[in-house]
Amino acid sequence: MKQKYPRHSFAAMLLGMALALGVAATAQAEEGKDLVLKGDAKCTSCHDKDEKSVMAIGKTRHGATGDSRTPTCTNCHGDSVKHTEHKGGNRPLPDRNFTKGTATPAEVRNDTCLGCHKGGNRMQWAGSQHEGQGLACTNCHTVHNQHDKVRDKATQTETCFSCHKEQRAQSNRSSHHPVKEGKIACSNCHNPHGSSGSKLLLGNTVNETCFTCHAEKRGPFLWEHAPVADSCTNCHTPHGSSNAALLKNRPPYLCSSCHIRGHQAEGIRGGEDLGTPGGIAGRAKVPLVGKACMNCHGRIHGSNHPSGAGFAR
Amino acid sequence: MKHIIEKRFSRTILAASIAAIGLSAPLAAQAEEDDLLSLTRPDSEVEVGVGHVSDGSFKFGDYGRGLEQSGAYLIGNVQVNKRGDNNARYMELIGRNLGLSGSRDFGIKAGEQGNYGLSFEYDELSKLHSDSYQTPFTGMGSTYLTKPAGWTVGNAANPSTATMTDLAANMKRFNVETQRKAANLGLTKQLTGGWNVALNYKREKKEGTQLSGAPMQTVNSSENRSTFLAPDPIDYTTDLFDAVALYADEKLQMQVGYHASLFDNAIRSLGWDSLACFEDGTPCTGDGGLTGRLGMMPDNQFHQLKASGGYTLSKDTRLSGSLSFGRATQNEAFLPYDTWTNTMPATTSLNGRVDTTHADIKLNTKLAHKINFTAGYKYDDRDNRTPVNQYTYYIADNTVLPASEASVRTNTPLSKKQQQLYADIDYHLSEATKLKLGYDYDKITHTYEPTAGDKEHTLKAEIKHDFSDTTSGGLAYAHSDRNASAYDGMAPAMATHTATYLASLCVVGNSFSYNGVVTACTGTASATFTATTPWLDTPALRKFFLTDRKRDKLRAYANFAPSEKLDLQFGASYYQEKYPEAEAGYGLTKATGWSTNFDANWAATEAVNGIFFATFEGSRTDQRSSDTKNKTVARETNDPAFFAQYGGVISRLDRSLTLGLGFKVKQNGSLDWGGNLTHAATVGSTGFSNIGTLVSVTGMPDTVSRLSRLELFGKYKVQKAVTLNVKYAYEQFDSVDWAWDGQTIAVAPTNFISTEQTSPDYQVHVVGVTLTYNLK
Repeated sequence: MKQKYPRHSFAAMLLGMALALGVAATAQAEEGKDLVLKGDAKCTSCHDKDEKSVMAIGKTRHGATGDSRTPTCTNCHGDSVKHTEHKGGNRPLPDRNFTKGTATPAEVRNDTCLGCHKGGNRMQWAGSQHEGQGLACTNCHTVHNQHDKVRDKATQTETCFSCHKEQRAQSNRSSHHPVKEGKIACSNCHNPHGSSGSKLLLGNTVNETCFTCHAEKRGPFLWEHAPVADSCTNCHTPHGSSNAALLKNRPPYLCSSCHIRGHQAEGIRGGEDLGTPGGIAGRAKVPLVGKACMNCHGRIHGSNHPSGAGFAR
Repeated sequence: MKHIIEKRFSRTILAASIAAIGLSAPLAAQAEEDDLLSLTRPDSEVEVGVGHVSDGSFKFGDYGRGLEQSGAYLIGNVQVNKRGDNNARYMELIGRNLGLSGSRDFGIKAGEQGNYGLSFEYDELSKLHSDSYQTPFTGMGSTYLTKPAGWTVGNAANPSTATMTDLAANMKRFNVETQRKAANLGLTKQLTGGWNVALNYKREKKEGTQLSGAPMQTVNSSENRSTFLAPDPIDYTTDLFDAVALYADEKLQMQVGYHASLFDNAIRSLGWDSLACFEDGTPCTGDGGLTGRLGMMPDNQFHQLKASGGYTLSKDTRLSGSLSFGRATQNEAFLPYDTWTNTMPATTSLNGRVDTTHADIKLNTKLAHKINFTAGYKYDDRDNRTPVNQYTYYIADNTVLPASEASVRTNTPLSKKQQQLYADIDYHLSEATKLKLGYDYDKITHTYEPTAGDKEHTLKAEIKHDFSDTTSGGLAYAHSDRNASAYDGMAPAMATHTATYLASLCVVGNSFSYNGVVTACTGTASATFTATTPWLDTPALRKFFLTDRKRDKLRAYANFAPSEKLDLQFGASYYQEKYPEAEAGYGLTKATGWSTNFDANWAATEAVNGIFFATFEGSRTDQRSSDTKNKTVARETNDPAFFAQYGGVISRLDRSLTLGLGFKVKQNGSLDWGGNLTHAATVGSTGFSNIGTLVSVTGMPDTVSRLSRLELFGKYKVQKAVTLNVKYAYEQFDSVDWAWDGQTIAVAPTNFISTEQTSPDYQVHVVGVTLTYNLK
């Protein structure tokens, strides 16, 4: 029996053929065409649109092909000849890999980035704390991602706290800087790429860093309080405290570690000085309640009042 | 059954097929193009919705959350990112919390990559100190606090809160809060020859109130003062300018710049009526003044020139460093000594000036294939060049003019110079093992302090080892030894008091050296006063930041990945600081701290992942003190040692536990959901030990704070470009703090106007529903 094609099937076949031809023609036209970066065809012929993370480089500054400095895949990943020319299974990896667990040494990975990003904030990278710990740029930065969360103050701590766990815990204390609220970031005080100051601080000293936001405490004052002029960290712990105002210890005990005489206000203050709330009949004592010593010495960071030698004016 | 194509259809099909051949290529290509663009063109989105807060709480809304009030609020977030298809132009716009006052921030950046960039940012940040503060004054938030009309002191000869019968009835609530609003303008321009410049200007306004102690002389005994916590009015403006020129080539990178920080305070003082005086203007009995006045933070400026650079000497060697010179000045006009006589000091302003110098240099080199060496030097100088003058100390607006030498004070501008040398070696013992060794030397000199300076040596060692591809660990240890020069606790007193006054503090027949001159004592001996030198504090006291110190730090960590899906991290650290000189006398003798943490990251599938962490921390300080409430004999007999009968050790211990649990699920490509649970609890304890036989002290209650937070979220893709978001958060906070809780007017000190504040507790539910529209 002579087989006749159903007319709709035939039409569908023709349509299919046409589409196939069309796709084939398009594919043929696109063979060797860059998809994102100039010269990326070598890579994107395999790492194509199915690999969204590869394509996403186009969403970033590294995907701005209008900028003559924009690299192509091989600028960062190496020519990777063995990788591209390999036939069959067990394909060797590209020359330089940046994914977690990569065998590419951190130094090699960093050289790739520093080839373009050596200046500015990264000038002191060599010999810095993070470099000494073997960190690579890509341990913190996600290059193939529009949103590099470490560069966003609202999400930066997700990266920093993955190593700095004590600071993560301290940021949840009742007194803390507005870091977990996303209003300031670790990089408001620290330069993770290396700095002239201690602890990777942005300023040359602790106080210079703190005065960026707390300029009112800079002075110079007529009456200076010695531990303040020395270092804010003599009394404050910046990452979080269970004591108010990020204090390292609780007043009056913080104060009495340096002042035990005075006008009978310091010394050994116990529950009897809390009065009735402390279970002792009678009134509480001023140095223990409210702001403790600062109930009177309110200008503890320094006073410019001519009668402010005791930081009470 | 025959299937024969009719002619009219066959022609149609043929035509359609030809057309399809022609059309399918561009259609498919267009689809491909759209597909590609969606993967490579930056995402933009707008989120709009409403939220609801169940209960109002200052503590919950603190720090820019903007959710301190109950009720509905608008949720508005926007993120727009545009990049030129054929050029390097870009525009990034981001707005967060746009519907929330005190929380919103907004920023826009635009320019041409590699050519120029412009940026503008605006940010609001609220600090909500207290919504339970109360005061009898009127005019809160202004520069003068007025006592209530018809105020009754009750007992003019001995005024106290117990006699102020109008006090309780006049207590009023006032929200103590500040708000910062900052605007930032930035410009960058790429120049030729490897140069580019960056300019930045930021103006921040801070307004509101914060609490400050405001003591007041009441009657004529020196100890008869009362105090209260005043809402200090804040009206600060800080302008920050930065101009930097940067250069970079293959070997040399450097930058030179100018930084200025100009602080302006629109408010000079805060005045108040004394509650210890009658309303009719009659002075208080004895020395008490009618009014008091606090000085505000003075205007000041800081200007700094700075340069830094790095030079690659060879493939393995790099030299870097920086140099900066700064000058801080302050010349705000002085206030009068007091409100009663309005006497002005001889100089009308401080003319304060601090010059700062910083220099550092660092060499980093690979000495051999397996050895990396870093060495450097840092120099910091705070040279306080503020003029030194004599002033008269009018205590707390006392109306009796200070006449004796005891009231003369000389200002002591503090200077400090610090030099640091350091060297670190990283040595790869094997492919899997890395050893780090380091040495730091720190030398400090300063003025007007009990010591001339100190020197500190630090030795550091760390070893890291990869036990396998999935297991690694390390151990680090550092020991520091700080040796201060001879401790002379009298040095600051010698600098600020007159020789005549100091001479009166020691018994006639003795003498002491004052600024190199031997001065004879003039004081009179008594049963408890036998001082041979004029000590103002206990001679055996050692301030922790100036005295000898031995410090040890130990840290251990391990990472373990039992499978590709599970990552475990363990860590522990311990430090101990000992102050040997204080161990023989008074002051901080020991500070210790420890921390342990455990983290687990679990990627169950590509669509499901979770995290758990736990951190337990503790810190403890021990300080030797003396019962100076009842006995000041240790000072007055010049006893340089711990006086056991009146002495004791105060220990403060803070412990905290922080737990976190979170998970995320990506379901069906259109639904994301997950949650986070955080719990943080801290307990602060105060203990007493080695209490002398003549000291009576009872235990202190603990301070406690507990925070628990649950967050749940769901995102459902309604259409390709539209996502429905549902968010829920529950936060519970409770705290116990003996400094505030229960300290009502009836039981608080009679010379302290209680604020009736309580430590915060809250339970707040927040729910939000939004739609996100993807603008691409």
